[in-house]
Amino acid sequence: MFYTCYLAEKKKLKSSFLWILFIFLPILPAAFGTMNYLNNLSVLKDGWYSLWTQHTLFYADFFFAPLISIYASFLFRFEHFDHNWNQFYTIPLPLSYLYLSKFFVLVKLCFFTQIWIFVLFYISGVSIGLSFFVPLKLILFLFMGFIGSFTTISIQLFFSMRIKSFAIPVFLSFGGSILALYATNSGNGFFIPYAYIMLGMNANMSSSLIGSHTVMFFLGTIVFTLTFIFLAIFHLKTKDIVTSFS
Amino acid sequence: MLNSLTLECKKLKHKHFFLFLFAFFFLFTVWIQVTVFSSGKNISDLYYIMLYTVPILNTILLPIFIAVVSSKLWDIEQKGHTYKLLLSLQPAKELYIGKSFLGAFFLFLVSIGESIICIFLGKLFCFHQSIPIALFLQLTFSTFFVSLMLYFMQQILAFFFSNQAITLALGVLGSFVGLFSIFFARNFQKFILWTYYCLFDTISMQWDPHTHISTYSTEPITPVTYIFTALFLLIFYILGQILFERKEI
Repeated sequence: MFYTCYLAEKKKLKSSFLWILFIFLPILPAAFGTMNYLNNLSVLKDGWYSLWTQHTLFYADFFFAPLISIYASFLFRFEHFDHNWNQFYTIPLPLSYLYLSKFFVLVKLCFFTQIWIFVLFYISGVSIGLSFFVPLKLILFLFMGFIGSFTTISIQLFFSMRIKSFAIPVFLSFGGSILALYATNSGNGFFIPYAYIMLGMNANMSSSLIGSHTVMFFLGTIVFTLTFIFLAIFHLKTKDIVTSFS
Repeated sequence: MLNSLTLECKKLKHKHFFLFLFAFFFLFTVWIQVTVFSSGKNISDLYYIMLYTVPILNTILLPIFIAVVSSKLWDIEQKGHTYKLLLSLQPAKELYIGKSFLGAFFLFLVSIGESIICIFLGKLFCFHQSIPIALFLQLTFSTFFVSLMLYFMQQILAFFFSNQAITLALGVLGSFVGLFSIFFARNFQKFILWTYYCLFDTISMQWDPHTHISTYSTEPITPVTYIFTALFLLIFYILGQILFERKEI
């Protein structure tokens, strides 16, 4: 049953504009990051690591969270149209299945976004003459960034469900990223859900942002993700729906 | 036209638009405070540092903010499928002008609010430097001018496509391109719309690599920047109006 819900959510994305966004938006940080790396070769001397800092600079700090929020708003846009919430509630399936299917579709989207980021990173690195072998640590950063994105996915899905506007959740994610940037720089990143992407991806840092706090990172990801999933399902189960045109 | 503007204002009732505006000011205040004070509290030209920093912050913040404003204003009609009803009651031009003016009003509030926040922070933290009023007026004007140009561009997408992801994606993209284009050559920057906030920067910074000290000084804005901005603004406004009047509903 759950898989049917998941397939239904996947169908909503078929032939949608999101795929263009998915393909083209990560190309920009890759292109600009590589250009920036080439312009500062006198300072950036760590090869793949230096290129990584330039690719993830701005991308992980400011743009991955808004990208996730566009994905999330898009997934809930259909429900906010016309009287589709009525339909959503009358589907003879548990509400948690319906919500979690959206969550997993978004997780899958983020997974492929990260893969695409890595492909671009690898192509950029090889084309500017770096060795064919990428340090394993960078693949780990990529994976940790993906794990860290779970917190943003859950919080953005919650916002997109609660807020009818498509745009406001995107702005909230952007604001959250800015606050997360300062929290991370002041050593308090673990308290802000949006900071987990930059913590995981080790954005723009040569030394590990997580350091010896790996357990804290995983614990924070689990706590924030589960909290917002629980809040969303609780809201779905207890609050009455309001369908309107605005 | 006034009637159209009043109608647009009524549509925003209970939409928490001012809450959204305050959220923006909150972010701006936090960011400007952290950025400026990381330079050191006792520096004598803190207002100059602010005036140098604000256009960079605007390049990051405002493209997304403008995308959100335009999307929110036009999405009401997209979601409710109200074009048929509205355009049988009022000319398309009036609706377009109403939305344009309301968007412009919000951007004016943002532009003036930013300068007020900067001056307020300066007073609150007792900056040694006297307030450069002329430069703040210039900042307010340029922020409004550039934001309006971007708004007119964004609203074309907002009314053209029912899918607001496109409008917001362009906002995110604009923010990104604008941020990176700060490193490009000046002549090239003129063709990147989102960099115009920085082209209107009235303060320049010279960093001495030996002493690690930055010095700030005023610099004039070239007339070409004004001409290009005005040209883009007019093109987007007129193009938007033509496209909206011809839009199939």
